[in-house]
Amino acid sequence: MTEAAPRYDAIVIGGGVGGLVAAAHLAAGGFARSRLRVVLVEARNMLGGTAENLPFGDGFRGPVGGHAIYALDPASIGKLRLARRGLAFAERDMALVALRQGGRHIVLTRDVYACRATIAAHDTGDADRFPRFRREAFALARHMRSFWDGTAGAAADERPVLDRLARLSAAAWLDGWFASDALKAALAFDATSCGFSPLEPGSALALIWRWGLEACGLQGGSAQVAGGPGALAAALAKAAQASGVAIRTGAHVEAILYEGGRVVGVRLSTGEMLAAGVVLSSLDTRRTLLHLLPPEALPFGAAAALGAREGARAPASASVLLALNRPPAFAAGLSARALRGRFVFPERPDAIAEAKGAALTGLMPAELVVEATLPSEADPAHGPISQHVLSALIRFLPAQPAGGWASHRTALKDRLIAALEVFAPGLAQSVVGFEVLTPDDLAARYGDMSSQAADALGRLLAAPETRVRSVVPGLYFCGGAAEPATALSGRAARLAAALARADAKAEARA
Amino acid sequence: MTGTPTVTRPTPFHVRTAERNRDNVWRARNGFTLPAHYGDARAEALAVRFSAIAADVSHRAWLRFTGARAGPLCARAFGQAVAAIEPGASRTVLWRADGGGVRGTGTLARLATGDFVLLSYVCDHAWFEDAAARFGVRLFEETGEAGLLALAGPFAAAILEVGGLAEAATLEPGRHRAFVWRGLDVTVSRWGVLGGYEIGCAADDAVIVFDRVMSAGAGLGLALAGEDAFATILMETGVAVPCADWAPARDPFATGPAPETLGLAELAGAAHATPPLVLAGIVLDSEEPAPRAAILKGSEIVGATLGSLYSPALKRAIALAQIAPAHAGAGTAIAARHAGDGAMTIEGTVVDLPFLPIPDQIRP
Amino acid sequence: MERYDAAIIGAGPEGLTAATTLAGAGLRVVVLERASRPGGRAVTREFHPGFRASPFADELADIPRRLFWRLDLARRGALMAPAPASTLISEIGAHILTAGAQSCAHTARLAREMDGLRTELAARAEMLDPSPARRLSFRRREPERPGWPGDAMARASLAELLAARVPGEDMALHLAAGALSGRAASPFLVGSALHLLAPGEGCSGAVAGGLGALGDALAAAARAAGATIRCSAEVSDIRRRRGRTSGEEIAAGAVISALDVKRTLLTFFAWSDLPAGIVKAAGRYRMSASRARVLFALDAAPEFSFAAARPATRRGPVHVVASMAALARAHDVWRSNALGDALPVTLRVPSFADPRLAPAGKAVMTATLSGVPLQLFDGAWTKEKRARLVALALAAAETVAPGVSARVLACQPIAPPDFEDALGLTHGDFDGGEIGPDQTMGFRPWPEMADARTPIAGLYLGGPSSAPAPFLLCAAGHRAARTLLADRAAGRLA
Repeated sequence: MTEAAPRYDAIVIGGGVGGLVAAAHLAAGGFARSRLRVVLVEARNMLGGTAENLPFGDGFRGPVGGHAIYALDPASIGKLRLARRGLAFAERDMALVALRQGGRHIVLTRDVYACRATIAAHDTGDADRFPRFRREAFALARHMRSFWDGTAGAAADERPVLDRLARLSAAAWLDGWFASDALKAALAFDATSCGFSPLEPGSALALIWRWGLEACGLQGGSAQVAGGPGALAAALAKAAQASGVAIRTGAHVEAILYEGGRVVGVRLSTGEMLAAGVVLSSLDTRRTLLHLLPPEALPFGAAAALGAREGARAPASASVLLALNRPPAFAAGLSARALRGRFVFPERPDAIAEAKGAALTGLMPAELVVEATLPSEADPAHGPISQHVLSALIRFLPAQPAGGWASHRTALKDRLIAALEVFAPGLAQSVVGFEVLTPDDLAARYGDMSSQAADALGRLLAAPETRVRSVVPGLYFCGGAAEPATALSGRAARLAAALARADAKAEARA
Repeated sequence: MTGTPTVTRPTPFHVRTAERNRDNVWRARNGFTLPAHYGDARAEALAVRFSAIAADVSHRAWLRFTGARAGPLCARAFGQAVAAIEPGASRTVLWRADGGGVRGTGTLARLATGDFVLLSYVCDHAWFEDAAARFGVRLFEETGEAGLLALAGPFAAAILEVGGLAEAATLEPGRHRAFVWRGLDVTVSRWGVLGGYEIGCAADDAVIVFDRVMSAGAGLGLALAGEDAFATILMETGVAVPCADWAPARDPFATGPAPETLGLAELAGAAHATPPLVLAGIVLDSEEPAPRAAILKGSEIVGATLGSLYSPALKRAIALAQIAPAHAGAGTAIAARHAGDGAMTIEGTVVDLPFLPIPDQIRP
Repeated sequence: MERYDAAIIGAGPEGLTAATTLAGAGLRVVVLERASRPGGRAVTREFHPGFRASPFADELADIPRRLFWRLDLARRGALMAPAPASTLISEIGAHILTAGAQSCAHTARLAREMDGLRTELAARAEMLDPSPARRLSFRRREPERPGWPGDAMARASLAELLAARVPGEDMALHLAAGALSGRAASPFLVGSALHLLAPGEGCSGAVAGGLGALGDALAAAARAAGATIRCSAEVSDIRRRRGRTSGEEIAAGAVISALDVKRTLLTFFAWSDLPAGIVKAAGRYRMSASRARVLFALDAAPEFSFAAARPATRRGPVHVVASMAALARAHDVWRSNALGDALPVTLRVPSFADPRLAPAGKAVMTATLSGVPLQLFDGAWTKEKRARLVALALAAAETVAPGVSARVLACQPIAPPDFEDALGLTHGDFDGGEIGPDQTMGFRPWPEMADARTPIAGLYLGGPSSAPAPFLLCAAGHRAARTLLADRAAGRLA
C-alpha cells in the first residue's frame, strides 16, 4: 500500500440496500466517540441495487426487485430515521391473494377470521382449522425468530426444533392440517422466496422464517414502498450521506487487497487503491472470495467448495412488467385491500415442485410460478392516470434454457400473459407496454447472483454470525448473501456493521 | 466396493523386484503393486541397523508445482516457513483441511525458484488441483513416472561411494542434487525420515540403477527391503504413516486428526497449551501386535493405539498410540486391550519416540 | 571394609543380569570381574588393526523374551539379527536352509517347537523352587519341585529325532551340524537331542558390532539399575563368617557366583571347609572343552560358490560336515584326546552382515571347530598345534570359497586353554558342563543343587552350570538373583 492511498476505517462494496444500511450503521455509530470514515463504492452510477424503479413503455415505471418488501429491518428504519428521509409505505401488510380458477380466490390477511370466508369456498374444514393453524404457526415463528435476529447460534431449546423443521417439507406439514390443495399452495408459496419448493425438506423452516418476519406486527408484513423501491434507495442514500459516508458511484472494485493475513483495502478498476482495515461486501460470496480476493487469502477447502458451485446452475428468477390500460378481470371480485396485495399462483404445491424440477434440468416449467403485484393500486404514480402496472416475479426458471434467454424473452412474456388470462380473461388485449428482465438481464444489471441460490437450507440454518463473517479476517458480508434468504433486508448489514465495530475495538484493545 | 477391478501399476523397478520376490507376496500402495518382502521381512528390517537396505519407493505420491506463483501457493498450503526453502533444500511439511484436521504429511523440496515437488505417502492431488488453478500454478502428478530407490542404514553413504557417487554421499540431510552417474542422469536426495538417501532416475534407467546399487552394496551387506520391513522400520523410527496408522482427513472441513495427536505439533507451527492427546510409543510385553486397542491405566481408558507391528530389533510388539498427556510420560506402565470378544489385556510401557533411531552414517 | 548387600563374581551375561535384578530390587550390589572390562563371553576383540570379531562365539543362546524386554537391551545397543540362511557342505553337496517363509514346513515346525520349549523353560526358570528343608528337620523330606520341560528331548537321540521329524538326510544333517557346532557329542547317543534346544551355532542372532555390543548393553543395564561393576578385581576366596559368606576385602550379605560350579566350589574354598559330599559331586560333574575358534582377517571378501544364487547365505553360517557318521567319529576322536583330520567346522563371515567389523573392502571370517579336546594326548597346546587348527579351518574354507587362503592377512587361533584363561571356564568348557540328560534342567549341576542355592548358606549359583543354562542366556543369573531376593525376604539371609 502506498502512502498516498486514501485511508478509511471501512470500505463497503456495493451500494444496494445491504451496502447502504451497513455503511450508514458503521458511520453513524462511532468508535472511541469519533466518527468512522466509511466509503461506499458502487460500480453503477446509481445507488440501490435491485431496489430500482425501471421506466418502461410509454410513461410507466415499475419496480425491478422489491415490489413487496417483507424483510426490511425495522431497527434500521428506526435508527437511520428513514421515515424522515423520505421513506413511506404505500401499503403495509399486503394481503396474500392466491388466484384460483372460477373466481374462488383465497385472500389471506392478518385477520384470520376474515380469511375464513375465502377458504371456505374450497373446503369448510380448512376454514375452521385455519385460525388455529395460523396462531400456532405464528407462535412457533415468534419463538424461533430470535435465532435469525441475534448474533449467537441456536439456543439449547431451539436446536431440536430447528433440526425437525430442517427435515420437514412444507407440504408434509400442511398436509397434516389442511385438505385442499389450493390453501396449501397458497400457504406454501412463501417458501419459494427462499428458493425451496414446497415438497423439499427445509421448506417448513423457510415458512417459519417468513412468518417470523411477519409476526413482528404491522411493520413486518410485506409492504410496498411509496414511490417504488427507488424511493427506499433514495432514503437510504440520504441516510448514508447524513451519517458521513463517502459515496463513490461509478467505481468498480477490481480486487480486494490482502496482506499479512487480513484485508487491507480494495483496488478499483481505474487502478486507484483505497486502504481500510475492514471491508464489507454486499456482493455474493463466490464473487467476493474467489474473484476479488487473491488466492492466498482462502483456505483450500472453502475455496474448492465455492468453486464447485460454479457449475451448479440453480433456478433463476425473472421479472416482467406489464402496462395495462384497464384493471385485470380478477380485480372485480376482490376488495380494495386485496387488490393492493400479492397475487400468487399456481394452484397446487406439486406444480411448484415440478417447476423447480424442470428448472434444475434446464427446461421451462409447465406452469409458471408467479408472484405478482399491482403497484399502481396503492401508488397511482406508476403511470398515466387510470393505467395500471402489473409487476410479476417469476421464480424457478432455468438459468440457461435451450437457446439462451434472448430467444425466450418474448415467449416468457407471452406465457405469463397466458397464465394470467386464466384468471383474468381479456388481459392480453389490455397490455399496452411491457418490459421483460430475464435472468441474464438481471445478472447484467446487478451482477451474477446465481451462486446465492445454492445451499438454501445451509443459509437458513447458519448462525447469523457465520453468515456475516467470512473466513478472511477483516472481511464481512452485508448484502443479500448474508441473509438467510435473498431479500432486501438490512438485518445482516446491521449485524455486519456491529461485528466489524466490535472486532475493531477488540483488536485495538489487544 | 464396486464390481470394477482396481488396476494397479508396476513401478519402474518392478522387473528387478519381481524377480527377487520369490514368495510372490505383494502389497498395493497408491495404485502400485510392490513386494511385501523378499524372503524374510524381519531380517530386512534388521538389516537397516546392521548395514543398509534398499527399498523401492517409486510409489510415493509425487506432486510437482511449477509456476511463478508456486512459492505463494506452497506458502499458503504448508505454512509461511516454506518460503525460506532454497533451491536444493527441503522441509518436512504437513497440510491441513480447513477445519484443522491433518490431510497428509510429506517432504516439500524446492527444485528451482518456481518449482516445488511434494513427496508424500498418499496422493492428495484433488486438494491442490483447485488451488493451483486459482494461483495460476501448473500441477503435475508424477507418481511412479520416475524411479525412486531409497537407501537407508549406516552404510548407505559407503555404498554410494563404492558405487561411484562419492559426491552424493556428502549431501547434507534434506538436500538434493542432480548428478551424472556414469552416463545416467540421477538425482540423489536426502528427503526421507530414515536419514538415508534416495536415488531418483528416469523410468527407463531404473533397471540399470538398481543393478548398480545392488552390486555396489553386495560387499557391504546391502539387503533389499519390502513393504513390510519398511513399515516396521518406519514405526521403529516413530513415524505415524497416513492410511496405515491414522486416517487422513478427507473432508475439506474436517477437524480431526489434529497435528498434536500425530506428534506433528512443531511442523504445524502451533503449540497446544495442553493437547488433548499426544503421540507416544508403546512397547508391549508380547510378540503379538495390538493395533486399534484401547489403552488402560488401571481401569480407565486413557488412549488408543494406532498401528502396531512386531519389531524384530526390540523382539516385541510395538505400537504408536495417542494417549492423554498425563499418562504419556516415558516409563508409564499401561495395559492394552483388544476390542472384540475374548478381549485380552497386554501389559506395556510408554516410551519416548523413536523406539530405535537408525544409526548415523558410518564413513570409512 | 566396604559393605554390600550382595556381591556377584563374574561380569558375564549371567552375572550382569543378576546384578541388574538385585540392584533393581534396591540392594547394594557389586560385580567383581577379573578382566579389564565387563561382558564375559560377550565381547568383541580387535584381533588385527581394523578387524574386529567376537573371539569365543558368533552367536550366543537365546535370551528369554521378558528378560530382553525388562533389561531394555535393544535400546541400549544390542541389536540382534538371526541368520537369514545357513549352508551345509557335506559329502552329498551343498544344502541351504533359509529362515522365514521359504524354509520347509517341517523345519519351521521344529523351530517353532524349540522356541516353544525355550519359552516354557524360561517360564519354569521364573518359578522359584522352595528352599530345602532345614537340616534340623527330623525327616529330611525334599519338598515338591515342579518339573522341567524337555523330557522328550532328554530321552531321544539327535539323529533319531531328526530322522523322524524332518525329511531328507541332508536336512537332518544340516540341523545336526548346527546343533553340534562347537560341541563334541555323538548324534546317536541318547540325550543328544538336547543340543537342538541350544544349538552350538547359537540362536539369539548376531549382534551389530559383535557380541561386545550385547555385553555393553548388559553392563549399561546393570549400571543404570545402580550396580557397581569393578573390573580387574579377581576373587581369590570366599570367606564365611558365622555361617554367611563374605568376600575378600568386600563384605557382602550374599554372593552369587556367575562362574561354573567347579570353579566356584573348588577354588574359592578350602575343601575341608565344604560340606561333605560336595567335593565329590563337583568332581563328578563333567566339564570338558570341545570348541576352538580361529579368527581370520581377509584382504577381500571370500566368494562362496553357492552364494551367487542365494545371496542371503553369505550372512549365515556355513557348516562343513561330511556326514552324520563324521560327527560321531569326531566325538570318538575327541574322547581319545586327539585332534582329528577332518573336524566339523562352522565358518562365518560376520562382516557380510555387519560391515562395521572390517575395513572397507575387506572381511572378517570366523571358524568354529568342534571336537577339540582340552588336553591333547601328545602334549600341551603349542604354536604348531594352534597352527594345525588354523590349517584345519582353512582347509574347510577352501572347499567353500576357493582361493581364500591367499587372502588371509592375519589369523588368531583360540584354543581351549585360551577359553579357560580368558573366561575363567573350568577346562575351557564353553557350555559350563556337558549337555547330557543327567546334567541339564532339573539336574544341573546335580539334583540336590538344582535350584540356585548351594549348601553353603549365602552362596548362590547363577552361571553356565545352573539351570536353565546353557539353553538360555541370562536366565540363570536372573534366577539366582530372584532366589536370593526370596530368601532375603523370608529372612533366611539374616
